Amino acid sequence: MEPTVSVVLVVRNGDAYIAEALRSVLSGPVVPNEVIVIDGQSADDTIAIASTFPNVTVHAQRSRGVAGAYNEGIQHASGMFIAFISHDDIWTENKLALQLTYLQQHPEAMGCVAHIQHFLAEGAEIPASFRASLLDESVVGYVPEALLVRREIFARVGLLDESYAAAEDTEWFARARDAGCMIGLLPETLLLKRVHGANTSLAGERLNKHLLMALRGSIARKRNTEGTSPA
Amino acid sequence: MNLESGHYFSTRNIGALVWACIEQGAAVDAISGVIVNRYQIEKIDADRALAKFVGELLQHGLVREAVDGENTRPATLDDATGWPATWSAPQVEVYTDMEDLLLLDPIHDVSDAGWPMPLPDQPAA
Repeated sequence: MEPTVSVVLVVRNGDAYIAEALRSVLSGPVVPNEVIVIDGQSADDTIAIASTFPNVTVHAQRSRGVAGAYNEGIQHASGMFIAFISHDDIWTENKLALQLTYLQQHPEAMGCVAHIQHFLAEGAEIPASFRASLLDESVVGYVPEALLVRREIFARVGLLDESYAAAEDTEWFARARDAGCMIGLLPETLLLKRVHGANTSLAGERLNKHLLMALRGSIARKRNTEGTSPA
Repeated sequence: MNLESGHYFSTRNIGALVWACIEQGAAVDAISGVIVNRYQIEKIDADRALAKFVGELLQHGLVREAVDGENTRPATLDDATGWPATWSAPQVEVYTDMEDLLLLDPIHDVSDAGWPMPLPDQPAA
């Protein structure tokens, strides 16, 4: 049976970048069967631009936040495999092909991520809180945008937890690991992440709090068999 | 949580309460006194257990020794609730299983100002 792939793209006011994101998703040797755009009430030309691309359906987001948008996309997705992208990211041409091949060759893996490379948007300055050296190196990317998964993983692990704000991805990856879901790591750089002023709003303290909550949850799961809770 | 090593930590037994005393600025000897008083154990046993626990906290860079001139405060958690009914030595647990998630995740490699983070009222990305 031919594998079917759904791509979930989340966006809010992304008319500057969404065309490039969609082109990157649709121009590789393996093309997804559908692209599900979850639009968080964009007030710009996002929807008009997205609608010009083939195999794209746009859904108005009902939930809140990035995690909620990804979750809605997952629920709309019909493919055997699901991948993700944010409107300001760019996939490399071979992303889907390499990741799909990996999962077909590794039946024990429920998903795979890859390395990612950050780049500065044209005309943008490096945000004060962003580590500039990340622009010079490719790094391991445990982020949804670098992930391709078998759809069954969400039945085993659950959806993203929207209460973790910007740590929802780490929380989900930790949950997947605790559930024994193997997620492979490809050596190739398959995602380009754009750094620009508009993708920021600054609250590191809250992020760290959510990361700590996520780790506390993981400790609790590991201790579960012992019947004790983390101190 | 140490985002430079990718390790995270937890404590067992009375570890969380000892930690709370340390956070208040209590000296190890004062904490030992609280433990002896509460659990009726020998001072030498309390000292030994605390030395091991605090030594591990130091080793992992979770606490530092007070320098000369820094005042310590009394351990004021003596009456706090949450102390286990019976004595068992505090333990530090080190988790390394999420190292790659925490260590190399650039999205969370942020300064105190943080980046990126959705505004609370933002519906989506």
